[in-house]
This record gives sequence, C-alpha cells and structure tokens, in this order.
Amino acid sequence: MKLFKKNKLLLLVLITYLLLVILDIEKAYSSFNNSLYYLKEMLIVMPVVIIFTILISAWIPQKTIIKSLGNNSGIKGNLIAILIGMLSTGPIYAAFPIAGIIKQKGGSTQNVVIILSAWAVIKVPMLINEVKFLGFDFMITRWILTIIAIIIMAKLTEFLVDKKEIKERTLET
Amino acid sequence: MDIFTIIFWIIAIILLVLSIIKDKDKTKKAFKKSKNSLAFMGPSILSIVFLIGLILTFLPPETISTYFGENSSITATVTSAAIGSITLIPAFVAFPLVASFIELGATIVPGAAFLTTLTMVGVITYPLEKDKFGHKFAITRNVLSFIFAILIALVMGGILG
Repeated sequence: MKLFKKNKLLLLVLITYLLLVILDIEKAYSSFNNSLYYLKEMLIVMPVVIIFTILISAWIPQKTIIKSLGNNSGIKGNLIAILIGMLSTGPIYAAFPIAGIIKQKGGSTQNVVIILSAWAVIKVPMLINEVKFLGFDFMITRWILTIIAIIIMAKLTEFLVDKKEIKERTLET
Repeated sequence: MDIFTIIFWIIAIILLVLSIIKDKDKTKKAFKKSKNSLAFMGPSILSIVFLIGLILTFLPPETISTYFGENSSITATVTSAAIGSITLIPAFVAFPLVASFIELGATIVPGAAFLTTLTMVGVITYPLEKDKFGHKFAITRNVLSFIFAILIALVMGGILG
C-alpha cells in the first residue's frame, strides 16, 4: 500500500498506457516514442545534477551558503541565484535537487525561487537558441523582463509562503 | 548532447574525482545522502517522462501553435499560457514553432506567454516540486509564474509591437 501511495503517478501513467495499448495501439506507440526523447534527456542530465548535489553537500559549508544565498544575502544573493540558474542545463525538474540542497543548507526561499525560475526560462543554452530563431531583440527583451519578474516573484513567494513548512519538508527529504 | 551538457559533464567528473582524492569518506557520505533523495525522485521523474509522451500525442505541437496564429486577444494569450503550463517541449522545438507563426503575421504576445509558461510553470512536475519544497511553495510559485508569464508577454508586445 505504501509502495502504491508513493508511486501513484507512475501507476496511473502505466495504466493509461495499458489502456491505450488495448484501445488504440497506434497512439500508445506514438506516446512511447515521444517519451524516448525525454527519457534520453533525463538520463543525460540527471547524473550531472546528482554529482553537483553531492559536491555541494560535501564541500560547500553551510556558513558559505547562508552568507551568499541566505536570508540576509540581499541583492548580491539574488544575483548569485540568477547566475546559478542561468549557468545550467536541462529541464526544471533537474533544478529541484540542486535548489533542494541549497535550501537545506540555509538558502533563502526567494533565492530558491530565483534559481528554479532562472534555470527554467533564461538559462544560457536556451537564450542562444532563442537568438537563432526569434532574434536578438526578442531574446534580450524577454531576458530583461524575465529577470525583473523573477525577482518580484521570488520576494512575493517568500512573503506568501510559510517558511516553517518549507524547512520541515527539506529536512525530511 | 549539446556543448553545454558536455561541458557540465566534464566539470562534474573532474570535480568528483578531485573530491574522491581529497576525502573519500566525505564524498561517500554525501553520496549516500543524495541516494535517498534520488530513490525518492526516480519514479516521479519517470512518470513525468512518460506523461509528456502521452500529452504530446493528444496535444501535438502543431495543434498548440494554431492558438498563436488565430488571434492575439487576451483569450489566445491565456490559452497559450495554459497549454504551455501542461506541456514540456524542448526549446529547439518551441522556438522555431513560435518563430514560424510570427513570420506568418501573428503578434508575439501569445507565443511569448507560451515560451515562458512552457518551462517555468509545471503542472506535471508539480508532484515532484511539492515533495521537495511543500504544497504552499509549489502552488505559489507556479501561480505567480503563470501570471508573470502573461505580464511579460503583454509588455513584450508593447515594446516590440
């Protein structure tokens, strides 16, 4: 029962695939095929993310994280968080373990939001692609507006979220 | 593998080797600690991967793009943002898609909203985010990201026309 509860989503997806195999094998096949790209992406990106999580956990002292990304790190902390997010690769879920360990070691809620958001929308590999297809003006406008939005969002999230909840959660996992 | 991922791999491996040379026990201990969280995340990530495949079958990128093309009303923008929230399309597919519709004469607003929610708002990654950072954090961050994605798009429309 516990196993089922923990893997609810996986089970649900599995059942959907089984149903699809029975009802419309073509669609099941195409869904599986679509997934392969993401499976590959996950297998390529996640080991690197895990290695970085291990390295941060082992070598970066809590004091350093609190000082550079903690509650009193100010604008400098926000900028460091933007840099961490931008110099990344992979989808947003790859940012969760990194942001998680930073949170655990004393990073502030707003900087965790900044890391996740910057990782998602303004990472360097993405910006380069964007220039190629949509032009420099489009990219730079979106980049500037997004950074402003991310900082406001981060402060709002920190204000709205009960800090106690986050602390308990990260200590658990 | 793109050049960035290769660079990250090289840096990660070099640092990991250095870490093992410098203090094997410390590295081992840290590895054990993250192993737990990985075992915890593994099934969720796997579900996400196969869920995306399903979503893309029933909501292929070509269908999505018709929303940018139709009109540039606020409805089209919100719809594009909503679709962006439930899908996860790699940037190298999403950018040319949006670009092709701007070339055809659509305004950039719905496309820009789509691009931002596509990566920043994650309905399907929500369970994972919730486990790591709590309900309140995940909901607040995703809702705010959705609102700001639309604001960013509207301002971009104003600036770039």
